[in-house]
Amino acid sequence: MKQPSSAQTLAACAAVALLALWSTVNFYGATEQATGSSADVYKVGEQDARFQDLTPALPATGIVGYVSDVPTSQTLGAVLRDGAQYALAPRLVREQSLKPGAEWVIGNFSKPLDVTQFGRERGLTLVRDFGNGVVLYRDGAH
Amino acid sequence: MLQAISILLAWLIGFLLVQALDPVRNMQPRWAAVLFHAALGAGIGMGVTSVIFLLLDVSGAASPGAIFGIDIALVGGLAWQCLHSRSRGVALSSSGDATPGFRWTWLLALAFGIVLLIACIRMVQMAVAVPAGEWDAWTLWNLRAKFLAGPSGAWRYALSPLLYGTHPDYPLLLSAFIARVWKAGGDMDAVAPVVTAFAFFASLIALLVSAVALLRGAASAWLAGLVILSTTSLLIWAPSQYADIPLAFYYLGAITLLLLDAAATGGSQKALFLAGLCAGLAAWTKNEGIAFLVTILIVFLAFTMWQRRTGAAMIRAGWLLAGAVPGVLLALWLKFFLAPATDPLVTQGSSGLARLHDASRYAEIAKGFISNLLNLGSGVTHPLILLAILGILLRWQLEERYRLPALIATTALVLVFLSYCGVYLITPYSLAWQVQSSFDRLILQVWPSFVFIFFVMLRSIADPGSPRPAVKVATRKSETISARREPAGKQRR
Repeated sequence: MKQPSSAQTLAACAAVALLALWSTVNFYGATEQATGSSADVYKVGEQDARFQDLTPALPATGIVGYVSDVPTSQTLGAVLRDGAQYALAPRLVREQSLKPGAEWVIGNFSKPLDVTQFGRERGLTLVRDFGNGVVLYRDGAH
Repeated sequence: MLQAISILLAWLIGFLLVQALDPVRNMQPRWAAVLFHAALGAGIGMGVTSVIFLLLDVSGAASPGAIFGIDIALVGGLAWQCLHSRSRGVALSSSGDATPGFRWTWLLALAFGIVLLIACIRMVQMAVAVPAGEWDAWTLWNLRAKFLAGPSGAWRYALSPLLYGTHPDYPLLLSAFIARVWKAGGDMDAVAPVVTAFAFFASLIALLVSAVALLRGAASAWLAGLVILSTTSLLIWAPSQYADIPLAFYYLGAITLLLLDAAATGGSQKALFLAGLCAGLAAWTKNEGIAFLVTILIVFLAFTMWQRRTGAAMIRAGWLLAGAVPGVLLALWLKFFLAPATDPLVTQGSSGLARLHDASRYAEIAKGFISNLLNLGSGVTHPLILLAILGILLRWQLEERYRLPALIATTALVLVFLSYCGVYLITPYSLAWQVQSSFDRLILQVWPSFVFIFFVMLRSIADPGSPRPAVKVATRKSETISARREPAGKQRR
């Protein structure tokens, strides 16, 4: 096969270099939104702060129960639960309605409500309301 | 601080291990050989220390003291081995391939540096904006890392079927490495997963550039770097902390080593051993890696038997398999003992086969493939356009000695990708959702390896009259040109 001429080689190198530079500039422009505060669409970065005061009140590991005003079948409910799970690991968060039995139960709420009454309806005793929708209950069975 | 030291120690262990085996002995340019050792060493170091940590964790012995103690012992032992092998190898290290000269190489290197800098600035900004990573990072990989780094016994939760929407049977390399760093440092801050993600990305780019430089010269290497950095979706996924970039690294590591084995002057099978190690670590990174490991072992054995005597082929495949042993054993342990499969994809039995008759699924997968392939880049700066320009203007020149490994690598990658498509065909989940949420990452897993093979096949870039790295240059099957005399160490084994 015929070898490429010097001009062809130069043209190929110049084209690739310039297009790659252009590509990076495009990438820089196209990802502007991915660097702002709106980039964390699930607000997972905020969960550590929300659960910061609750964490020391729980055992270092083990299974903790979970209740919320938003069913986990909804996207928001699943995001709330998974965010709580990530913030509270290495504890395993388990929905109280699916698998009761955990002594400590986390309440994770999307809006203000009567958390004492919410717990009572589920056989849970309020231990402490940490604010910002985060509550600690104890299962009445224990 | 302790976290940074533990990451550096992991890199040092990998670097010394690769240095001790030295798969690019006597190859030129030397900067590329050092970069190759550093890049491959980073990935192998993260993989090997991740495996050691998991064993410590499961046995209840994981502690900062145990982690650093083992790391320091390994660094000492490997450093001694390197010094020992270097003193024996002095007489061998005088020869080397001449690399092709190209007067504009410095300009390509400069362009690569600028592109890399701009891309890295943006990726760091993206990582700062979402330090916990994207969805799979914090619901899967980093979450499991938290369990592994937890108090004694908490590691079991990483494999618990009680975890929501996650996959307890997913391999643990990435999670265990992050957990190791957290355990060594004594806290679980968000920096470790971010640094790990960037370390794998940087190693991937460095591995590609250095391997192309060793096989095809520096100018080709910088072009390969420019093409891979034009892959916009790679730059977007790199800071997401998903396991697809580490997996792409191990695929590329295995494939570069297969090609370097063909170029090696030492006459040993060390590159094959390291290729097997990379394939094994791929199997310990994601389930797709298991398909890669099985495929590359079978394809390597089949093609090598086709070219050589059965006994010689078995010996070479044995070296590949020997390197893969840690990954194979860990994958078997995970799949059969720690976390038997609960995924409906595996447990559905023969019902999935019925979906093979649904023609609309084939169409949907093909559509998803084309759409996601186009989304690798954007407009006229798409990496496929860059490759087309290079292919048309520079043309092909696959050296005879690289034909078999290039064929093995290409066949294995194509089969692995077809296996991905096969899983889409039988998945019990919504196909549209699966294609939409994962196809771009599946393409990314194999893309760096395809770029590497492309550059191995592309004519190397050189000024007229400059020495080329070719030993035996074959432009057509029937036409073989001896460019210059082959050094004694390069005779086909």
